[in-house]
Amino acid sequence: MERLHIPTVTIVTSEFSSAAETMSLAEGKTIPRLVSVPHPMGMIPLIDIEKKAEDAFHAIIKGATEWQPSSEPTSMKAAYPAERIEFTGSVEDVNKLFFERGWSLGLPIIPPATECIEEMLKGTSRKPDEVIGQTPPQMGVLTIELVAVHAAMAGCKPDYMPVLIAALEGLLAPEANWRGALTTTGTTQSVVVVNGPIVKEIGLAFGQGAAGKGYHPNATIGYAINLIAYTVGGSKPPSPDKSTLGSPADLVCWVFGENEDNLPSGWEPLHVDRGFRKSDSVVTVMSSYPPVNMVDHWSTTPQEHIRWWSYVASPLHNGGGPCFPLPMEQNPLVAVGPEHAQLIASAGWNKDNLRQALWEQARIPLSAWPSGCTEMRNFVEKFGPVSPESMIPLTLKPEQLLIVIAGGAGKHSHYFAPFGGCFPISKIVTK
Amino acid sequence: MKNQIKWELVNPTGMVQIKQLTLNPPPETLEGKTVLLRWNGKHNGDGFLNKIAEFLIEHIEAVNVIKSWEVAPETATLSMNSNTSKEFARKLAAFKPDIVIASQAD
Repeated sequence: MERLHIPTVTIVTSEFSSAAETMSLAEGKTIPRLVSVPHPMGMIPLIDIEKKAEDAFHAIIKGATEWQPSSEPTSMKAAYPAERIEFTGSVEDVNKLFFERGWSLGLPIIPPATECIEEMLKGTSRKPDEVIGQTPPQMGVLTIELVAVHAAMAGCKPDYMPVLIAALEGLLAPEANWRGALTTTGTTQSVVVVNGPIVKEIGLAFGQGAAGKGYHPNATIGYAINLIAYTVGGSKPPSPDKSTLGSPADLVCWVFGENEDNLPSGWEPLHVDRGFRKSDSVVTVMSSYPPVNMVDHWSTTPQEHIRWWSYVASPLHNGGGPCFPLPMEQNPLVAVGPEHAQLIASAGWNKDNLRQALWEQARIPLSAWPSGCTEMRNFVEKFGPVSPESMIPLTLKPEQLLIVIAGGAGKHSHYFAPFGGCFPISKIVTK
Repeated sequence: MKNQIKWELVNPTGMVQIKQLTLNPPPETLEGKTVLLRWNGKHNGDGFLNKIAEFLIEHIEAVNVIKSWEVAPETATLSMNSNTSKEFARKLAAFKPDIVIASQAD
């Protein structure tokens, strides 16, 4: 609104004042007119809200008529080359220095010595001074050089750089809403799915335990992404990263290849579904909530299996529905274990059959949502007339469901509900 | 003494390059002004702003209060990205408020 020349006073709760200042500085290097009220505002009786409004009224009027802006001086130093620091000490001393300065997540890092960065940059043909975007929430400029710095810190090998760069390009796209995921109170994570020849070229895991421990490319790429979000983007708890609990995925995010070797006959991989050629190497990224594990050791038909799924996958996983209609327009990720995929395909089903069945069955009644849901009008506009008995699906249409074959032997699949406003972005990997 | 190495390290933080935004001067008074109350759909934000609306009408002469969720209900939700945020801002700016009071709740 300020950019449209309209002065604005913003009410924030005390717990979020700091985050609001940080975000506003990132928008325009200016502390905005903020009026703080005691936290919380949500989930308390209306009478308490009205008392808070009464108590804040004078401050709001003052903010609206007397407040004068203060701002930090703008620094427009060049983003490239990054500053060099002379330091004498052991590897442990470097780790201590970096942690104390807020330059590491608390896990060990490999010191980003200049020669390491030069070596890392050999893994890409992109020029080190190229800017690939500004990293939210503090909008730090991310150059290829800086990607190499964090890749080195995370222990990546140079030939991981193309995948890392593609993942970051995806996360930095506006539609990915990485800023939202990095500052929300929700427990969110980046999810990186890799397709195509690059998976085997760099030894990225795609089978047993692919998203877990012991796989160097997966772990170090996931670590590098989160290091960048922390140091370049400034996404740090308790503010502006307001995640209520956080998770280990804030340290190393989800990175796995699709198990294209175990695609059922006639099933295309994710990147082909999304319009790429099979021979392309593609990274698809999104921000999601932690996945739900779908255990099924017992179904012998896809119909039984999907009926079981319908109790596990739910629109409530990301609040989609009358409380928050936007997620219903988004794209949940269904990571089907190979054994479950074989069961589904054995009946002649393809991915569209799976999408349709899951979409039809994974529904819950509207009455399940809390009575205080505030977006019923917007929900009805998107979805149509409803009653308390209406069965609400995961998404507006079945084709929104992304399906990948993920992992190895075992009777488990996973459902990743997208964080609000975070759409999946797919990027070609270029070397 | 542990291994003392002379390092030339690269600062990982990067530069923050943001064009300075100059905030608009506030009106000296709200009398006779149009105040738009913007709610982002978060629980109780409307209740808070409804009370502010009552106080404005009671205490400020000739104030015109517009409630965003009544005139543009599609904006009563989280914008979630900068493009939608700009779209919402444009929609609300069309009501020509002299000032906006926005509630973030949570």
